[in-house]
This record gives sequence, structure tokens and C-alpha cells, in this order.
Amino acid sequence: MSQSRTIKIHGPEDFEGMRKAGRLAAQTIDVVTPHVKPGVTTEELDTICHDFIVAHGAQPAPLNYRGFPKSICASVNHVVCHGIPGDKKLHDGDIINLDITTILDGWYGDTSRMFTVGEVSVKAKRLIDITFEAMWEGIRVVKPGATTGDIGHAIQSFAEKQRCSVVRDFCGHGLGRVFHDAPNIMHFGEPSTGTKLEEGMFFTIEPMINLGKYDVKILGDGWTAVTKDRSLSAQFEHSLAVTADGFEVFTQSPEGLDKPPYG
Amino acid sequence: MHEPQKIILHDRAGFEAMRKAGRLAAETLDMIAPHVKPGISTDALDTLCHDFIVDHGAVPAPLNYHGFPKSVCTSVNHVVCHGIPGDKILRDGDMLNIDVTTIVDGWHGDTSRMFTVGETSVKTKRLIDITFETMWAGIRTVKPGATVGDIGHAIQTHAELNRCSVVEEFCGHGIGQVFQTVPSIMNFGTPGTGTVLQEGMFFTIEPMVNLGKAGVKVLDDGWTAVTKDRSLSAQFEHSLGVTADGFEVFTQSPEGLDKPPYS
Repeated sequence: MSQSRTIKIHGPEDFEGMRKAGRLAAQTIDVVTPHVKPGVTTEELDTICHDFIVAHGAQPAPLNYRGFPKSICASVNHVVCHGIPGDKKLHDGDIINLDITTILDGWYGDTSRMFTVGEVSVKAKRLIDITFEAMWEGIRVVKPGATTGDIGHAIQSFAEKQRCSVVRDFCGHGLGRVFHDAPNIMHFGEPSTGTKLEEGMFFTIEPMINLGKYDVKILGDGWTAVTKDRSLSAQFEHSLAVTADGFEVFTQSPEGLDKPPYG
Repeated sequence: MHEPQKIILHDRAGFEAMRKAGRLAAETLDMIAPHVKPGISTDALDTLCHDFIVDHGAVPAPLNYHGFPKSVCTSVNHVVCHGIPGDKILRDGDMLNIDVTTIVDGWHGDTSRMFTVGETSVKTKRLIDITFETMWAGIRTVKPGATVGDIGHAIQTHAELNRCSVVEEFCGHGIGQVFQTVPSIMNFGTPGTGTVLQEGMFFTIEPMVNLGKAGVKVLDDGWTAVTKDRSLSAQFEHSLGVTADGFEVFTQSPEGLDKPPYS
């Protein structure tokens, strides 16, 4: 069976499905926020998210996805992405990304945010702020006629201007009734290259920004991606759609918990 | 969360598992060959394949894959790929592709062949022969150090030398314990570009070749891809592994039913 390279164009009812799935993913992060503090394990955070998602009639998409063993990804400090929740306790000064994908009525809502644990360093705060802004630099270029290269270029030029680097090995992706689909959204690129955006396309924008070099390696568990130079790495992610005159973000925080500090 | 972008390099156990899965997929096509004749519906072909696969302790991968409603794809005449079996009755002069993927012990064997129904036209036979040779032109380039661009270039060149066109919207894909993964194997390309092949990579090669122009559109069912100019379209597919000195095809017909005529 051949792999499709065509990009699905979604209609008004599809937007409604994504609003619900995206909202639940964002609510899940809102709910877990007060629990992110020194002493909690990433597995406890996983359980809180899992139970909240299931209690709302949805499923956590990562669970068993290509063998992933948990319901969310929890990526601490120099972990770039796909950290597996476990008995690791969070310590004062850690930064962590929690990445949630909910499946609600068949639609996938995918979002992630950074959290700070106790009091974190100035450079950690700075990295989180830069990464948040880098994501929004990418989102703001989205409109019909713009290209995936425009998105990547906006993210890359912003991050590099702040003397940070953009991870190359992972990218955003189309989504909707499937978790991962065309198009791939690279977080680096040349303006006006790549796929031309059209109204009704759904995809994620999710830059991973490192304080050091952009190289990553995958640990022996087959999932956990870390920076090779062990420098700090941060990530934010939204699921969004191309609209007639721009974009609609499906995963905005209902509580306004957009980036740390949340308390 | 991202799709893993890392291409798995499989070991001897992986080859052994793929031989089994690939053999069953090829046996399914051997089994169905005598049933493809005027008067049978594509649904009846689907049922025969489904039952054969299940009777052998395997699972038909397309069933419910991203919502696909049947166990095989049946693509008749100007249907490029992903035709959904239904009450359509095959008639004298038709040609069709049957695309089978079996999951055996968690491993995916993916293969498709063309079939002719009764007596078909000279140009139909010619397209089928060209497509078969096009697939093999691609397969024969496979060895460590070659690139996916080499495969695509060989396919495109062979088809276009015969005044046919290759479809660009669908491609081959990495395979193994996952149905469709990296790398994507385009049916067009530039020599020396793209991913470099390494021993232990598993993927499909599955060119779709049209007598007319390359343009395709997907019908309202969300699956059936047809040529825009309604010209005939053919496809053959094998799953294969990169070996130390070349390739191993996992889905060769045990009965030697490689291409029509089969009797």
C-alpha cells in the first residue's frame, strides 16, 4: 500500500473536531501544571495526565504508539524530546517539557509546554522565553500562500539571532484524524521553498531549541533524544490550522498558562 | 510528539521475520490469481484474501489502517491506487492492481501485482510490462551506498523512456514492525541525492505508471486515487531489504506468478 504524499484539506466540521481535541490537550497541561514541583516523579505526572484524559472520554495518543510505553512525553533539562516518564524525581532548578496528545472522537490534539521546577537559572529562563517566541515567530507566518520554508526560516533566524540552535532531527507534522501525516514542518529552512500552505491544512509547529549545538543522539531505550553536548534544550508546541486569512491555534491554554512562570 | 525519523537497520532476525511476512503476502496474490476473471466483484476478491490471510494466523494490515474499510486495495483501470473493494464487477478487458499487506508475528509484508481480466488491449499489456520493468529498474539499483534518489531516477527514466509518466503523490516507504515509516521512496529523483542506503534497511518499491499524464486526484471517499486524464495506471510492488552486496526481495511469488499472463 503506497504512502500518501497528498495533504488533506479540512472543512468546517473538521475544525470543530480539532477544537475539541486541542482544547482537551491544553486543559490536560493546565491540570498538571500545579503538580510540577520538586519531589514529584515524571511517572506521577504521566498518571495524572492519563487519568484526566481518560476521564474525559479521550485517549492518550502516545501510549503504545510505535511501542512508546507511557501516555505523555516528559523531557527534562538536556532531553530534547520523547523522554519516557519513570521514577525520576524532579529537582529544584530543573526545566521540563510535557508533551500531550489526546484523541477525542477520532481527532488528534497535540501540544507541549515548558515548566520550571522551583527556582531555575537565568539561562534556563532565557532559553524557555526564546523557545516560546521562536514557536510564535513560526506560527505568525502561517497563512494561505506562505510556505513551510517560510515557517522554518522564521524560527531558525529568530533562534540563531539569540545564539541558540535549532534541532534538525525532529519536525512538526500534519495531523487531524491521524497522528502524523504530510506535510513535515521543518524548524529551519529557506523562505519561499517547500510546500505552499492552503486553507484547511492542519499541522503542528514545535521547535526544539538548544543552548548549545543542535546535534542530538537517541539513548538505548530507542526514544529519549538528548543533546550530544548535554546543553539545555526546550520546546513548545501548538496544533493549528491554516484559515482564509491566517491561522487558528487549536491548543491555546484555557487558563492562560502559556509559558512559565505559571504560579 | 514527533514521528521517529531514524531509519532502523535490521539484523538477521528481522530478515527472517520479513521473509515469513513477505512470503504470506505473495502467497495471497498467488492464491487470488485464478479468481480474477470476468463477473467477480472486487469485494469477493477482498473476502478471499482476508480469509486466506486470517486462516494463516496473520492480519491484513490495510483493514482499519487510517480508516481504510477493507483488507486489500483493488485499483481498476484508471484507478492509480487505494481503490476500495466493493460491488464493482470485473469485466472482460479490465486490468487491476491488488495490493496485499500481511502482518505476521508483528512484521509487515507488502506487495502488489497487476492482473488482466479476460482479453485486454495491446496498450494495456504494454503498460503492465513497462510498469513491471520500471519496478525492477528501481530494485536493481539497491545496494549499500546507493541513494533513494538513485532508485527514483532509475524508475522515472525507465518509465519516461517508454513515453509513460510516474505518479508523484504516492511513494514507497520504510517497512518492518511498522506498516509505513521512513525512508520515503519517491518514484522520481536525481542520482546521488537523498538518503544513503545501508545494509539492514527495509522498504517497498512501488512505482505507479500512467499511460497519460502524471496528475492524480483523490475521490470523495478519501482514498481512491485516479488519473486526472482518466488514462490507464498500473503498479507493481515488492518489499525488500538492503543486503551487504545488494538486495533481498521478501515478496517474490512462490508460484512464479510474477506478472500477467498467469496461466
